[in-house]
Amino acid sequence: MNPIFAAALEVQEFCRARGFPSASSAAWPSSDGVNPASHRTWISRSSAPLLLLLGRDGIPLDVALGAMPFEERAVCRATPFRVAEGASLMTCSAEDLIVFKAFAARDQDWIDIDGIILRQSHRLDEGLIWQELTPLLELKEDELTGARLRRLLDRPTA
Amino acid sequence: MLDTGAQRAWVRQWKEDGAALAALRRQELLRLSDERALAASETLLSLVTTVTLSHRRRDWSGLIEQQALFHQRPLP
Repeated sequence: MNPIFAAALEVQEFCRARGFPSASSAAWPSSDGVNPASHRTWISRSSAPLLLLLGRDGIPLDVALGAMPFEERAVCRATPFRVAEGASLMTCSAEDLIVFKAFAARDQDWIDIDGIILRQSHRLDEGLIWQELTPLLELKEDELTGARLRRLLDRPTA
Repeated sequence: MLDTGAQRAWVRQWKEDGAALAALRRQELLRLSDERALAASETLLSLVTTVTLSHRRRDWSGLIEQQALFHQRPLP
């Protein structure tokens, strides 16, 4: 298994073993409890602290203790994805990934969104995407992203 | 040295090739099976151990930008 999936599984098992709820109210343990990963940085200036860890193989692991209602719903909608024999990672839905990426709206995010739409086009719940994304874009006072996403969603895939 | 006409033709060809390659990429992505996609990811991500973590990456994450946007505050 590649080191990135292995590191993600490591964190997932760490949380499961301690019964951490998968919602953003989970408390993160002290540095002693984060073995085998070690701290890179703890950023707590925000209402949603970020924990940057370093995994066993030097793999950077970025943890956001989400506080937005959308983040909590995305966690609730997450499902296991089989990455290897006997190993599954909890991953967010394609719809939620599009929302996360459209909200961030960096160049690479748009390339990723294009790929997600191509792969998932007939299975995407567009209603859910707009239901989650629209209020976030209003918060951000972003009037461009919705139209750009609309164009990608409307583009014929075949 | 190419004359202006040849340079224009070269740029036109370059644009057409770019569009053709983009279309090819879309078709390949469409036809890719989940099994082959996972196998390709596995191959690509296995190369990660040969990459040294940059100093910047040690204390920076795209999540910092994302959370700053979520909470409408300036980047640290």
